[in-house]
Amino acid sequence: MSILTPTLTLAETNALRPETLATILRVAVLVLVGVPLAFVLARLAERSSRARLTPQVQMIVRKIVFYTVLAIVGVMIVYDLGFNLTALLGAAGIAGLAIGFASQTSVANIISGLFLIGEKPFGVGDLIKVGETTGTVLSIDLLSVKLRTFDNQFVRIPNQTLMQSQLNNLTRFPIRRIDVPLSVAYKEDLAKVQRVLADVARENPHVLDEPEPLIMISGFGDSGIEIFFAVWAARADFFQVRRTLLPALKQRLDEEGVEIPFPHRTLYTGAVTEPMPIRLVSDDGGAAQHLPERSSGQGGRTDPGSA
Amino acid sequence: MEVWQTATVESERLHRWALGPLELLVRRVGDELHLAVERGEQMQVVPLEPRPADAPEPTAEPVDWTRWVVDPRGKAGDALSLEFQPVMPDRPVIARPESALRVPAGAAALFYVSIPVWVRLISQADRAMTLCEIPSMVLSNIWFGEPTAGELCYSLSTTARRRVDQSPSQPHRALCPLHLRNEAAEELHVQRIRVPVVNLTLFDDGDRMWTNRVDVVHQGGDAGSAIEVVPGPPEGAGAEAEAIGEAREMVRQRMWTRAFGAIGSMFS
Repeated sequence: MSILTPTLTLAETNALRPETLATILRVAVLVLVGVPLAFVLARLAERSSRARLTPQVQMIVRKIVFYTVLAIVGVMIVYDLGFNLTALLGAAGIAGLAIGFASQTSVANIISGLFLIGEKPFGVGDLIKVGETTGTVLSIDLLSVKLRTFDNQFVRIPNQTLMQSQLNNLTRFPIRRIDVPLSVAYKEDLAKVQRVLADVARENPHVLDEPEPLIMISGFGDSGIEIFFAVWAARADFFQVRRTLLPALKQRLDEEGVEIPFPHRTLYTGAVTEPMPIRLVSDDGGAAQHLPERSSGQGGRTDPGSA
Repeated sequence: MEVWQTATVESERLHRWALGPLELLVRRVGDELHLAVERGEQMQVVPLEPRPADAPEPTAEPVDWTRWVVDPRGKAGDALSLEFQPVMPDRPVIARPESALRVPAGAAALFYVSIPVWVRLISQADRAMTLCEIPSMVLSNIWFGEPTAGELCYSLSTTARRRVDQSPSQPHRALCPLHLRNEAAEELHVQRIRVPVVNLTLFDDGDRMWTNRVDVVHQGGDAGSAIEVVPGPPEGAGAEAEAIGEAREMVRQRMWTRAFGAIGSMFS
């Protein structure tokens, strides 16, 4: 009889004990039934909530059901294997405390995500502006929101940032206003200008007749009369109107001879430039008098007062 | 009217069809059908006809041809049948009276609104195939409702005549009788009327096109208005008027909706 024989015999005896075999079978059944069951129940919960809930909430419901069923299956397996659940739960509690401290940001993002999903300030497909970033919402996840910008960049914004920032949903409502501030020269006939603006709005088929275009004198600026011109368009036509309205407006103003003023600048030639020649014209229309040029190396500001 | 009949498009010949300001140029090239749309100021009624062989070429070649493969299994040289069908616009029309219109409390009145129709083209190759729908007149868009919720409609300025003989007959327009009854306690100031054209059938009395009569009962305040589309041709068209265009959506019962809007609070 070899030294291994008692061990082998003992091992063989343990392996063949009916209780152990039953435990292994129970665990196997729990795994083979429990895991697919978790998938099935999660899917059923998602489908049953499809009519009432948004896709984001359905996703959360599915995950809650799935992990809950998995946790129950896991607890049953652990119990069947004979482990002391009380001690395990105690250890898990301590571990949870440590993990909680370490994952404060993630937890904050998750909670912010739940609030965002419940509050629904935007949905997938909406165009939103957060700070300097404007993009289309690709997905609303538990930790972050993903956007696609107009130049096709992928932007990930943590949910906590969204909760703490001002957020503009540009596509929440079905119609939008396009604002075109402009100014015209003081000499222009305002009635004519208003007529031109109204015509331009009316000739664009995508500009809504109602709400009516807004044409308002908003102030008297340094260079001209400031006019606030705004038109409304359906959300789907917003970019089309924005793209076509301004060129049509410019063309029409040119055709009507309406001047759009701009600020004038005074040019100053410094020491490094040649002096600019100035021609003085007398008030009575007499002969022009050229100022004598200064000798080279004395370039600088030309002082009319010294002519 | 003859314009609404099925006509034959001969192969390799340019054809012309016109209704009011709308003119369509049609040609068959192989197994394709080509279509171009032109709009003018002249009112015309021209059933589909080939351009005469000795007619001068158009001075301006239309650049916006649209092409359909209509008969991939047929022979390229076969003639093609093309049906022109009148149909109402695909969105409600907001009729806005040109002059102030007020209906006193308890009063009722009948108005006539002239609405431009659309043209539906159906090719009759091996099977009927709807090619496209073209408005006889392009109407601008208008929003009916609040800035946060409402409905995109077409905008139509109307004189809202009280008698048929005051409404000139135009080949591309259908006359819609609107019966307004004000059951509210206060006067109804009509600034706009939402006409449910998608529920209207087109009739032809030989002289002009008509739609069903629409009865609108105003309840007052923010309550909706009861709208009823009266089946059959309207009185002005006569009982022998023929149905020439089906409604896009049939309605069997009275509709409750906002017919007059509340635009005063929309915009500041």
